[in-house]
Amino acid sequence: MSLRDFAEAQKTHYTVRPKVQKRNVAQTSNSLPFVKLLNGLETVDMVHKRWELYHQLHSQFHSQVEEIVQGIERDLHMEISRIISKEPSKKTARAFNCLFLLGSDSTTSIDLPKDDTSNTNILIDLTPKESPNVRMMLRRSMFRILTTSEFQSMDSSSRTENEVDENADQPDWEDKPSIESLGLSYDLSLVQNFYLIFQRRLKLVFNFKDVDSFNFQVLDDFIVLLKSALKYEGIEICLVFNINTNLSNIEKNLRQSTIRLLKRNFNKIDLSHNKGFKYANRVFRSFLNTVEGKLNLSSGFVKFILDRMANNATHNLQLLTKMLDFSLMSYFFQNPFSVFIDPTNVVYFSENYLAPLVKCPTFMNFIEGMVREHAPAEEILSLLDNRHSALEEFFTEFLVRENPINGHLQTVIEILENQVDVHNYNIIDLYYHMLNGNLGEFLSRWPKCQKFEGILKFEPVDIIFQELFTLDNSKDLFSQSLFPFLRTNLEDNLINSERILPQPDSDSRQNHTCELALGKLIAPPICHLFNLYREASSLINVHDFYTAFRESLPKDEILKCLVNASELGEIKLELKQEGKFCEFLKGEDSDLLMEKISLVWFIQAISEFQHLGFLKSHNNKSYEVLEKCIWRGL
Amino acid sequence: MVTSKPSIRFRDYQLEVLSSFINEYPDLVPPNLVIHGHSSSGKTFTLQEFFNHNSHLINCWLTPFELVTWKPLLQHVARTISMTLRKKFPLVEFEEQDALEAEDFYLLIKFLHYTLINYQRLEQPVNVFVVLDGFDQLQELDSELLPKFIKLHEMLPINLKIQLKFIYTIQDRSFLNRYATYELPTVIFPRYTLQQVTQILLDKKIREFMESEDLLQKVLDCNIDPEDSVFEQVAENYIRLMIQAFQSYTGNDVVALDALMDAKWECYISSITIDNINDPLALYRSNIDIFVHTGDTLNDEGDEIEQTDTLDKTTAYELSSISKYLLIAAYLCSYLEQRYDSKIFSKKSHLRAGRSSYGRRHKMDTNPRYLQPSLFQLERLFSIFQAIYPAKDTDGSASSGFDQKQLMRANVEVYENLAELNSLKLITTAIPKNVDYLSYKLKWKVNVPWEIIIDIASTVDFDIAEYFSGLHD
Repeated sequence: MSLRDFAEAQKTHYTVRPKVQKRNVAQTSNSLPFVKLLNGLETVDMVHKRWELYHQLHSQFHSQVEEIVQGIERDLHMEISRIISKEPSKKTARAFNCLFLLGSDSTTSIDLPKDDTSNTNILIDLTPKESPNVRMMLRRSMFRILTTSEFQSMDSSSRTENEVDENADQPDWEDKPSIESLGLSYDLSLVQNFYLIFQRRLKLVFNFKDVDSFNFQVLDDFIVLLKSALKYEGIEICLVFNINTNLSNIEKNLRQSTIRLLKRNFNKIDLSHNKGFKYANRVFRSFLNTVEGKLNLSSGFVKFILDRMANNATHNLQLLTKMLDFSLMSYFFQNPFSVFIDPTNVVYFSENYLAPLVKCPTFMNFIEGMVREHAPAEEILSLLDNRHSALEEFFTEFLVRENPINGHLQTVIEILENQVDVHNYNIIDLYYHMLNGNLGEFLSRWPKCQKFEGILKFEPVDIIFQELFTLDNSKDLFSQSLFPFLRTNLEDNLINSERILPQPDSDSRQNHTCELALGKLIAPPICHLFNLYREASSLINVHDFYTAFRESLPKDEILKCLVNASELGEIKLELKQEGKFCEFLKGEDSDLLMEKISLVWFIQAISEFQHLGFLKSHNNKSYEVLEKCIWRGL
Repeated sequence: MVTSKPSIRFRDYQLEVLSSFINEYPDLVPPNLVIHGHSSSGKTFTLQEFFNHNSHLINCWLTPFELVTWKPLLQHVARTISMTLRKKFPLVEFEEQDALEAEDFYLLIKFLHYTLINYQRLEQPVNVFVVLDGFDQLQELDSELLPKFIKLHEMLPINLKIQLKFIYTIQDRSFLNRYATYELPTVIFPRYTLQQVTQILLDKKIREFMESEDLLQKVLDCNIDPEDSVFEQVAENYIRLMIQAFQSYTGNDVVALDALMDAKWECYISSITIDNINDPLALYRSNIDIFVHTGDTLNDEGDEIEQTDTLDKTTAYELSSISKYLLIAAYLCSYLEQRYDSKIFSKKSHLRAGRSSYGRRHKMDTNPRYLQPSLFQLERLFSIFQAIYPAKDTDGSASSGFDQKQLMRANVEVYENLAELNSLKLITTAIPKNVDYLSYKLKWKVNVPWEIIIDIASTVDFDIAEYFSGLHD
């Protein structure tokens, strides 16, 4: 047996990817996923336009999101290298340059500044496993320095000259000791003499990986040891700590004097970019910009986003993108008016659009207002009936109006960031409060905002026809499609199998009349059993359950169907079995056959239930009783 | 030539003793000299000053702390001695030996023997002082090491022209006491008293603080041009205040006080204004904070305020509220017995009635929290989760369809959070390896101690302790 076969045999589970035949999607002339709206009255042209517009906005939004996501990584690296390559000031000259990477999984690569003739930068990685005691840590790091710097000096010609011309080397031996004369000892004397040997300034970057698993006593001693290296000429030491717990844990475990030492030049970066709102804010704003302020978000939708974001701690950004994406898609899919987001499309406005337009609540309010103010009946009627395309003009007029909320959002953001100097706020939350007209409540967190109360004041306005351009979701569509209730859906589908299974049609490709007939006759056995399962109490006797299942099957019809099938030669069995089967069918033992068939179905269904988590065997020994898993409704 | 003494505050006596022990006549100098004193009592500084003042005395320095173990220490002793001699007597020519060969004590002696013998042609015998600064700071110190050094001179020929004299500075009293029988000449540096500390720090720091750029910048920003005496006054007040505030914390440790002063100087300076620069009391009052805390914390105080601000919305512990309730449910599953579940969690009264359903509930002998977490099935976790998760009120404004139903229902989010808890190892499976997550037989357990779960529960206002009250004695 080859090694691979053996490894394969040891797996506890396998992934099987069934080859699914591609369903023949009805090949209409245009292969658009969109359908005609307005009761099918929408023109093909408009469907096309809608699709194109959606596509354009979607790709625009995604390119921006991609940019933001890439920016995260870039920002991080820039920030790290900025701190590392920081020139020591006079005050911090005799201190470590410390960088704490919070929430790090120790895989962050650290870019060193470029080496040049007068500077050498060396990165030393230390993992807890490699650092059982100070001696090993020191040896490892010095070895690293030596290998790197020797390698570098190989390149430089000055060094080779020295080696070739030994006589010339001799006189200035005093001020330029070679490594050989110092001996290869892996201790701080190497750092001490580095400047003398190589005539270069040395910057050491210690990257402590997974700091939480270090022996803190050792780490502490090592830091103190490194401290004495700081006093040598031309040495700079940078300590990078990868921490995945928190700072107070580190603080607790190190000596106070060490903490004081580290604090002199102290930086920290939080690597977990889902902390804080910076990037989520940018994604949200880019979405608002994508639709150029035309599209509104209903407060329910924004609330929905906020709730879901709070429920997910790790993949915030992906989640937000997914939700916004889906909302955009569903909007374009179901709203015929979405084409008019691009105002140039208004020339294609036709009378098919009038009926839903008139039914708009905001428009109806407007008409009511006109009636109340005794506007001339002529005017009202002309609007309602679109005489002389009055309604059309009216609609076009409002099409170009922008919702003031987006503009105001911009103002609020600017004031918050530039005047009040608040950066850690949630724009989505801010937007939600603005939609509900209680911006003041949101801003009351920062007392400084009161100065700008006049400017910040905002009342949401209803714009006529705004519901046509609002991302909302009245039918729980998002919560159902993005966050489905697994169990409930499963149960519903088991009860109404015909909802998801294709209707057994006569025009299916294979001519299995038997299958067809069976399909028409009964639902799949598992659905059948599920109906019984619902009736049962929490503990089910297996035999009773089986008996009930068998009795509930329409016996005669199934038998008839089988006889038919065997006559047509559709049931393919081995010769011996076929003989037996026919015997069963024709003989008196049709009951026995039925029993066997139902038993097969029953066992199959039961084990499927167990894997779905509907049933469990009561205990391992006896198989008499099954227990329902009754976390119902979830 | 007579040794001269530098002037160092409060160390006159020690200098006098040193000068009588350390001179250029080999016969008058003991082969070993111990300098004992606690950290930051001026041992190294005094010794350095002494040798700087008497540059005719040949000396070399080693810091055992940096060398970590005794082997490099021996090698460095060998190397340092040979290099010092080379520098001092460049005319003596002989073949250099590799100092790295001194890997053990007898090899060191061999090396020294070979090296020192080359200097026999010198006219006068000379002392070479080898200072091992902080001998007891060596990381892997054993009790054999010091006696070996002490007896080193006995192993070398007596008539050498180069006489090695070792000076050890030692902090640890008990370490020194072990070698009391060797009767080593010992110079003791006592701790500084408060007055002395104050005096030393004033001498050292006033000038530094007065000339610090921060102060000058600040004064320029405030548009004031005080005289030098004002600067001096500010610095002196600061130093005195710091000593008074933190002396009880650091003891008479000059170095620690020094570091604290450096750390807080900037903060102190920043609150200087025209009004308080001449008024020490006002300056002190405006800076009361820095005198109350040592400030030896890596967390910024500002951070914490921000965190509590958004604590309700976002997540402490970086967990979402679903995760937290799942974790609490898992804890309850692991530490409460299954047969009481219906009594504890069911809201239906008929299930609770009578003890027929679960038998007599006697108190447990041991607190279940002291035991290992017991295993549970996912099904049970979910039902407890549903029972404890706060039911959301359906709002009156049911216009938007996003409102939750009365009870928590499991959508994908619940499973996502469960998977996250599993990957964080907060909830683990019974089998550590090759877990088949789809198997319906899989059992789980919680992997979080009581202290953390009670912390997590408090962030969601869930009184988990109540579930465990009355369970045990």
